[in-house]
Amino acid sequence: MNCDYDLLAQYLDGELADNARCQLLSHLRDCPVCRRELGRLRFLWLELNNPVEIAPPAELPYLRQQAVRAALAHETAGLTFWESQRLAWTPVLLAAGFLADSGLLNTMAKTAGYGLRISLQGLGRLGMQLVKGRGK
Amino acid sequence: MACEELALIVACREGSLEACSQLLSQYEGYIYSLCYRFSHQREEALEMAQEAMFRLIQALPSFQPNRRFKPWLRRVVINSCLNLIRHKEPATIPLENAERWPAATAADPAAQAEALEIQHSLHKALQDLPVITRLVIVLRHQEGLSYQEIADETGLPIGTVRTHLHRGRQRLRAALSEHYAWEASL
Ligand SMILES: [Zn+2]
Repeated sequence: MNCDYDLLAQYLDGELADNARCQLLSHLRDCPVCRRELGRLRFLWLELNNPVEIAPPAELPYLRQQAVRAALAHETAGLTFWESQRLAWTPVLLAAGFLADSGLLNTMAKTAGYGLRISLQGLGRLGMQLVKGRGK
Repeated sequence: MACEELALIVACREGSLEACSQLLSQYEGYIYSLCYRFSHQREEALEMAQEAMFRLIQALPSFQPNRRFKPWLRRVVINSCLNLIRHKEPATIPLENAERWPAATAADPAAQAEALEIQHSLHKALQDLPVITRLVIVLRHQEGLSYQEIADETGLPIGTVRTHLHRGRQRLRAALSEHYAWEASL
C-alpha cells in the first residue's frame, strides 16, 4: 500500500470500511511519514471539532417575529422572506414602527442589507399613498 | 419527541403566531450559530437565520411528527442557506469585520498566545474557503455528520462532498503548516 493522506482523513472521519481500515493501520505501523501526518491531521481535527460558542445577536428575536408573521401570511408560498416583505404592507409598517421606537434602524440597516432597502421603498410608496389620500 | 414540543408544532400548523414564535425561540440560537459558521459574517448570518426561520414555518406542514425535530430543522436551515448562497455573489469579507474567534483556555500565557494565533489563522483560512466548502466542513466537524448524511442534507453528490472536504482541509492544513513549518501535503 502506498502513502495516501486522503485515506488518513477518511480514517479520522470514521469513513473507512473495516477492510480498508485494517490495511491502513498495518501501513501506519511501518510508515513513520504517515504516522507523522496522522498526528498533524489529528491536531487539525481537534481544532475543527472544537465547539465554537456564538452568542445570538440582540435583534434575533425581532427578526424571528418578523419571519413568523411573513410566513403565516397566505400569499408567501414560494417566496423568499424579503420577497414576501415587498408584497405585504403590514409587516413593513410594523417593522418601521419597531425600528423607530427602539432606535435599531442603524443595526437593521447593517443587518438587512438589500432587504431593508426594499422595506423602505415599500414604505415610501405607502407614504405617497397616504399623502395623496390626504390631499383629496 | 417531547409532548410539549409536539403540541407546540400542532399549534404552529394551525397558524398560531405565538406558538411559531415560541417554537423558533427554542432553536434560534442554534439556527444563528449554524448560519454564522457557514457565513462567518454577522450581517449575512442574520439574514440567513431570518430566511431560515421564515422557511421553517412555511415547511412545518411537511414535518412528520414521528421523526426527530432537530435533524429536520437542520435540513431546512441548510437548504435555506444553500438557496441564499446560490442566489448571491460570493462575499469577500475583510478580516476586521469578522467576530473574534473564541479565546484559548490554556493556563500558560505563551501557549495561550500561540493557540490563539493558530485559531486565528485557521479562522482566516476558513473564511477564505468557498462558502459551500465551509458549509460541508462545518457539517462534518461541528455537526458530526457522515459523508452520506452531508450528501443527503445538501443534495450534493457524495463525491462532491469528499472533494470539498479534501480541498478545504488541504487549505486549512496549509494554514497550520505555516506555523509549524510542516512540509507540504502529498
Ligand atoms: Zn505512508
